[in-house]
Amino acid sequence: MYLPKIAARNLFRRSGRTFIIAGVLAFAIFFAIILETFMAGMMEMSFGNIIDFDSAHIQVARPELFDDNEDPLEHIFTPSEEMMTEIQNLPGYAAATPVLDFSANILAAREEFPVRVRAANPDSFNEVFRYKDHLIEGEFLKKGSSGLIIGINLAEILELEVGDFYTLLFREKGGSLNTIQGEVVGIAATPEPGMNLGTVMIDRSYVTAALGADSTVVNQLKVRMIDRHTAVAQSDNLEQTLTGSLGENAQVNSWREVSDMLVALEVWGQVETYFIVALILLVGAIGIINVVLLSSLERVEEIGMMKAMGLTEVQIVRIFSLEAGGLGVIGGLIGAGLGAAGTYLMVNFGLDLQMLYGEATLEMGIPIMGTMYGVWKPGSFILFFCLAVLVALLSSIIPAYWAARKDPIDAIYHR
Amino acid sequence: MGLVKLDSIKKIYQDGEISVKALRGIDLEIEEGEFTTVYGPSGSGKTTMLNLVGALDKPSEGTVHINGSIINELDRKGLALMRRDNIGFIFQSYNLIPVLTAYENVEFALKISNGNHENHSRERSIQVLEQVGLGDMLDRRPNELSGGQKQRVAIARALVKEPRLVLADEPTANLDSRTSKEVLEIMLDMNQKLKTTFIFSTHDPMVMEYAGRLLEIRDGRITREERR
Amino acid sequence: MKDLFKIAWRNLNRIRFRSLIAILAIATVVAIVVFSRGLILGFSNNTYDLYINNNLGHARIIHQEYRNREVLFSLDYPIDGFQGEGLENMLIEISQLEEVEYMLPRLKFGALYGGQTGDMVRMAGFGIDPAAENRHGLLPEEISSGRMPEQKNEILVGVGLLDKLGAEVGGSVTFMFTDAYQSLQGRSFTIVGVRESGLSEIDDSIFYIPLTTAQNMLGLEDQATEIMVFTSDRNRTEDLEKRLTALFQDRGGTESYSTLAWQRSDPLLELFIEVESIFDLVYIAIILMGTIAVISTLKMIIRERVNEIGMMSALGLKPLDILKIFTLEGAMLGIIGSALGVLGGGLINYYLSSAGLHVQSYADTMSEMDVLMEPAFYPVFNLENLVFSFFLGTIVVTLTCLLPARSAARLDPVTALHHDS
Ligand SMILES: Nc1ncnc2c1ncn2[C@@H]1O[C@H](COP(=O)(O)OP(=O)(O)O)[C@@H](O)[C@H]1O
Ligand SMILES: [Mg+2]
Repeated sequence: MYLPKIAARNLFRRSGRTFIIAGVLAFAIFFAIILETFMAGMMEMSFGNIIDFDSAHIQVARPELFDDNEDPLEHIFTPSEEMMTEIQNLPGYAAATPVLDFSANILAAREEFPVRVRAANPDSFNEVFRYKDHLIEGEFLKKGSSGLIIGINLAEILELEVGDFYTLLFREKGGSLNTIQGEVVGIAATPEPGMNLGTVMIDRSYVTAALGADSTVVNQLKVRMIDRHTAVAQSDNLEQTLTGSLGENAQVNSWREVSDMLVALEVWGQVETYFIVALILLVGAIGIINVVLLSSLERVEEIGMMKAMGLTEVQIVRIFSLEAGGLGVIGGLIGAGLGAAGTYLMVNFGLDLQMLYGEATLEMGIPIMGTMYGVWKPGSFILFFCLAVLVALLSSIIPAYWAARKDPIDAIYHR
Repeated sequence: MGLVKLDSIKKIYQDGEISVKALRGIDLEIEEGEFTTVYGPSGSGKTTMLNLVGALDKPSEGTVHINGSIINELDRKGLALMRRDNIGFIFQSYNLIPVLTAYENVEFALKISNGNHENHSRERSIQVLEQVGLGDMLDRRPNELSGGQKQRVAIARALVKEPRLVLADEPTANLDSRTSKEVLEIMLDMNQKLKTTFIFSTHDPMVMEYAGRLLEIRDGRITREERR
Repeated sequence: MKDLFKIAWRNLNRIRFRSLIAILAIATVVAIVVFSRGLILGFSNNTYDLYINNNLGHARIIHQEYRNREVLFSLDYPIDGFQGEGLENMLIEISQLEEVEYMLPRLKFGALYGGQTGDMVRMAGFGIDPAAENRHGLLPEEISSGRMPEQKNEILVGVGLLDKLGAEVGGSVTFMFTDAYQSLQGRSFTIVGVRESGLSEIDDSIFYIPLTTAQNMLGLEDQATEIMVFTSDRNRTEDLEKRLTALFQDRGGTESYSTLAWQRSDPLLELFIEVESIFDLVYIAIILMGTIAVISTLKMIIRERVNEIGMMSALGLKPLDILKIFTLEGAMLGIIGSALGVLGGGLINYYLSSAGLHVQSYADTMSEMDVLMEPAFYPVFNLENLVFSFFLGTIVVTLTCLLPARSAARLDPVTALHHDS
């Protein structure tokens, strides 16, 4: 057909104008794609760190444990054989480990600091978490020993080193105060800031003995899956089997449900991106109205002739809309191309966050440290490309209609 | 009834306070195959009349019949379709589409009408361009053509869809006398070969001699009419 | 000049729709600048003020060793005046400095509550000087019921904490703490007031008692852990800091104490301040995007009038005059557009500065983070922002119009006259 041909040739006739407006659209798309990649990378990294050091992929516990302000020692349980079998039979299962969390104050030298104590099984713990690679000093927990692993920030403020003595002061289930004492055996530096300050680790069998409790009690089972995406669905399945057929009083949470902050942050990031992109596209839309208008003013006689030849108004609107749509496609392609290049760089070379944010992320408690890598999001390429074309098409309609409505006689004789 | 019939036509332009009576009562009938020249000085109402005959405009009073339809009753889209299916236009300023080549300008006119030439539009377009003597300039853009050549493309464009009626408003006004003659001769040739009805206007007495039927118009009235 | 102005004005009026779109483009980008600048100013002002008023003062005096141990509520590094002469003396000396308006001495300590339910509530206790806090105003303002603690065993409790304690105004609460000599103590207080700041960081864990009581029970007579110093305006912090540094050098306080200006007291604020300065470039970029419409309009006007320009220069109009005409045209579009944009953006800011911009996901994020930030945006509505944005718009548009105007001025009159439009 001729209408697209005419539109395309007119686009290149004023190529300067075309490319500047296409550039604005391209900028909007590029910006959106990069921001999405960045956010996705940040989420990937944040969730990854939480999974690797705190939550694992799936956690099983008494429902009350997940409520805030509850004493974790109130909600211990002994995992049944059937429960363990169910977990091990999950499709995509990799490893599981029991933990017993409770709060305590750590006393060292003259200072005291509130911490979460995580009592873990030394052997299976490292199949689920990545602590072992992040011990910067000392060694990991040993079965039956009172050795304590602390985070690097805690070590700094309490001025603790490997071999120093510590005391943990905590309240037992009944309410009476109890203490555990021993030596610091390891110092960990993880990319999850929460674990570097507020959490210490100790052997679980030692703790249960000190509590005079059964050695089988836990308050959480942490499960690692082969793939994090299957974990979300499998956690729901597991909860149904456990509470349904096994009749357990249990709740199963996937990694996604662990951090309300990250989920909220993800949504906020998206809102922010869309808002900024909307503003840039608004400017682009006005640019397109401007281009279509100028274009129609320059071609008044041509429009007049087309009307004399019997083109209907709809057909003339179509010529200009096609032209604007072409602008959208050019802008969209450039933007997507630049976005792909930017994403490629972010995926392969990453971005040093400390350089970008300084110490601020630690302050906010977002679990990102070190180099962050981008993530390919084909969906956002398609979405923003279509958005650019759509905006271009829609904003061309008013000026195109304005041009098409012109009286053919006025147009031909350029009155 | 003839192809075109104007029935006591008046056209009044309202320009703010002033109203201009461009046509003051015209009765006219044009038969198929006629080669009509509308002659008159500038401002006499030639363009206004041609616009009415070409369904580009509606009269203030009176009725215009084209090919059996009363154009007073048509809406904008109806007028557009009437022009598309029955009328070819040629203007003083050529009005070719600058981004299309000579060949494309002609074929475009054919394509929008979706008429009988759907399947062999290429052959048809080339054929018409050859008839106006531009067989070797198919791929030139309008800015690569001279005035006479442009006007010949415009003629080819008007003729390609084989309309019942071709209107040419001062087609030679921008051309020198030799080129003017060539253009007129082509039009006359087409009229004789294809039996296409032509109406063209001019203020140049030189051009009058080509008329088959001559209408002289002054102050919005037909003052003289003769057939040759 | 008046003639040039007339020519420019007429040209713009020739095809009004076209000029209107160019104006609309400028108005839109200027409105975006007004809005986003108001938003950022509002956001950073709010955040800065929250940090300054709650934690940092305009400058904060602490013991050098205290900074890393602050999270521990360490009592090992208090401020005991210059050469150990005592806090009172130090406060008097500081208050005599020119820039100093008032000071808030605070004694922070950790405390534990072991209630009937058996679980422990960890709290932060602030020993405060009631008179100074009343002068500061924030605390009394945010008391939702009751009053400030004035003496002895009176305590003001955050609303979230009150809930955790299961207590109410008029009731009493007993908590444990370790004093400066490392011995565990207990003490009972009468709740006289509740603070509701709206920020869970503050409301859920902090209580306030009179400074003298705190000093007394912790064994830190005439001492505090920090002094927040306020001057008249946060922009005068540098002067304040100079005075403080001079005094501390003079009195031999630099060895053990540090004076930290609010800008350098918190990594998050440092990041914000840095980002804020980048934004001026972003604003210019936004306006440039709108300028595109003006430029292409201007270019088209010039293209239409090449003949006219040729004639004008043939008649002896100097290239500079031609440059002026077209720059003037662009400037007029810029001025009208910027004015409309400032109006639109100003209206948006005016409305949102009191109504606030509430975004659920943002509020969720903020409530989960350990930061002091309002859960909604309140853009600033002020004259400075409007004037700034107006001039930024006008200047950027006018400057970019110089480009097409220059190309018009450089047209050769001969070719211009024979141009076939
Ligand atoms: N759109 C219009 N508005 C006002 N007056 C018009 C308009 N079009 C034509 N006229 C007037 O109508 C009269 C006839 O014009 P026209 O048909 O163009 O004459 P011609 O083509 O013979 O030169 C002239 O006086 C002209 O000024
Ligand atoms: Mg005429």
